[in-house]
Amino acid sequence: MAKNLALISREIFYFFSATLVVAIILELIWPNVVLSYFNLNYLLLIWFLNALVVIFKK
Amino acid sequence: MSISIKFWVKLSFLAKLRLFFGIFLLFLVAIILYFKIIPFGQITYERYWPTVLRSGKGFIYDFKPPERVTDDGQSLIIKADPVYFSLFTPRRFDRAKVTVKYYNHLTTTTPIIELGLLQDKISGAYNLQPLQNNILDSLRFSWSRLDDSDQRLVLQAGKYYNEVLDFESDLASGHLRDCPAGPTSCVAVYNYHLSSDYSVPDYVRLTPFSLSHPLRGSHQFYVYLKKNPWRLDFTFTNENKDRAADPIVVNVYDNDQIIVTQTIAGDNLNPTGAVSEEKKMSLSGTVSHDGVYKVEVKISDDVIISSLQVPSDRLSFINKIWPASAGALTLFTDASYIQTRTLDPVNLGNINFGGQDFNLSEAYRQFTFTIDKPGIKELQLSKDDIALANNGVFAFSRDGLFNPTPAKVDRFFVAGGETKYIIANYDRPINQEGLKTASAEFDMSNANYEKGKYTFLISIPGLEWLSDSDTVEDFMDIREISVELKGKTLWQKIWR
Repeated sequence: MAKNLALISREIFYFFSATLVVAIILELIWPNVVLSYFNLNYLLLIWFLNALVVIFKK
Repeated sequence: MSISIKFWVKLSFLAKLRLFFGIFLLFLVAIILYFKIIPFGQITYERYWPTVLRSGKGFIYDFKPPERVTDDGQSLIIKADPVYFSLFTPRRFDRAKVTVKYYNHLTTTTPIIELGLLQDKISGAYNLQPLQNNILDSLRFSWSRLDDSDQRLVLQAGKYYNEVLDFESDLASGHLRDCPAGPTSCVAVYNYHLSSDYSVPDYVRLTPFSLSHPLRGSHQFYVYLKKNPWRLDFTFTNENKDRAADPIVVNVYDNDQIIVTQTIAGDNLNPTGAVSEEKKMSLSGTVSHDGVYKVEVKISDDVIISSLQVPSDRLSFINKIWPASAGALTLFTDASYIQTRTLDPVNLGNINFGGQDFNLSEAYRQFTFTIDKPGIKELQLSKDDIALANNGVFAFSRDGLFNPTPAKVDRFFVAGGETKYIIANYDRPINQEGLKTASAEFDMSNANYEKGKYTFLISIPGLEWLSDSDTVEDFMDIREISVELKGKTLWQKIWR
């Protein structure tokens, strides 16, 4: 179970990383297309907290 | 067991997780692309006050300048005129319906609220549409209503007409009842174009007009031309005080139709302080009838009209004139007020308007000087480079001044004067326990669209707030702005 949780948190980390990269690329191509709807700082914060969880699980 | 279920069962836990997150990411990208393309061509963007939670930047934002507007999250307070805001759209649209919900804390000195959409960045021209006109709202009940449809409101001071068809027929023939001097003298309009056949039957041109004082920035003027070949000669001086491009566009209109247009592209990328440059432009043509033609000069404030030759001595500048020669000057205007502003403290001092002295005491601040005197007023400036504006026309000579357009129902309008009829394209706001809802519609096809943004303006003429004042007494308290946009669908863009 604990192994699965570690796996899930790592995969979530990858998902957030990919989402961030995609959102930044879309913002670079079409400015404000993401930021108008969603503040990427929130996602960055969640990504950072998730990264801490992944590190401490290791 | 179907193939898809077999496939799912065979997958490892990690693969299942990755498949799930991969599909979720693709779904997010698809949603973003949907809202970027807006394939059905319709979308509504809204902004509310009080604001509970804002997940993103939003689409309606950048209310400025900060000294005229306060956004504390609870309400948007407009305390001085005008206020600008941006509407971000991920693509262009053709039409917009802007609805504003607000509490009105304004007095009788500020009876009008208008919403504008920036049309041209160089000239700063806005397409203004009414949100509220308290003068019309009041006259709607005190004057006789001849027509009150969605498209038009027609009011008459007395019971001159019983049928709107009779009124329209007389208006078209130019012989309205109790209006011996013609419709332009007794009809006032608001947000309505009244075509007029202004003519001077015995007009004999004395001397051609030659500009005696240079003018700064965009200008529009009426010129009375005889049925003859004509020619306009301009000399422009680009001061090159900024790095921006300074194109020059001149349009000549006959009844709102462009008959001649000319452009000089100005790729002014020289550094600040570069040497000024001179550009010449000539426009010519042949007019088919004697009458009034409108000339529109679209230039930035970095460009000066240094000379202008026109084959007519009847020439009036519309609504605005900005002499820029730093010398004494006499002008004439038909309006009962002037709004003045200078950007240079050197030009501060007294202005004599209609025989009365007014003091222009502060740079960058707009002053409004009003006199209660009918007819043409003389305006004496001891120093110029002062921007002057009103709802009438300006001319360099008394004889040259003429105004072919009817009076407007603006904040200086007084019922009971020469005006016997009012024609307006205006719907009054809906009032629900003090919360007013007003809408304005815009054609966005020719609007200025830059960096994904349209620029709007909220105008409350006469609303001022001095920065040294502790309290705000007169203000507009906005609670909601929604913009309903319509444009081409994806299929129309692909196939047409």
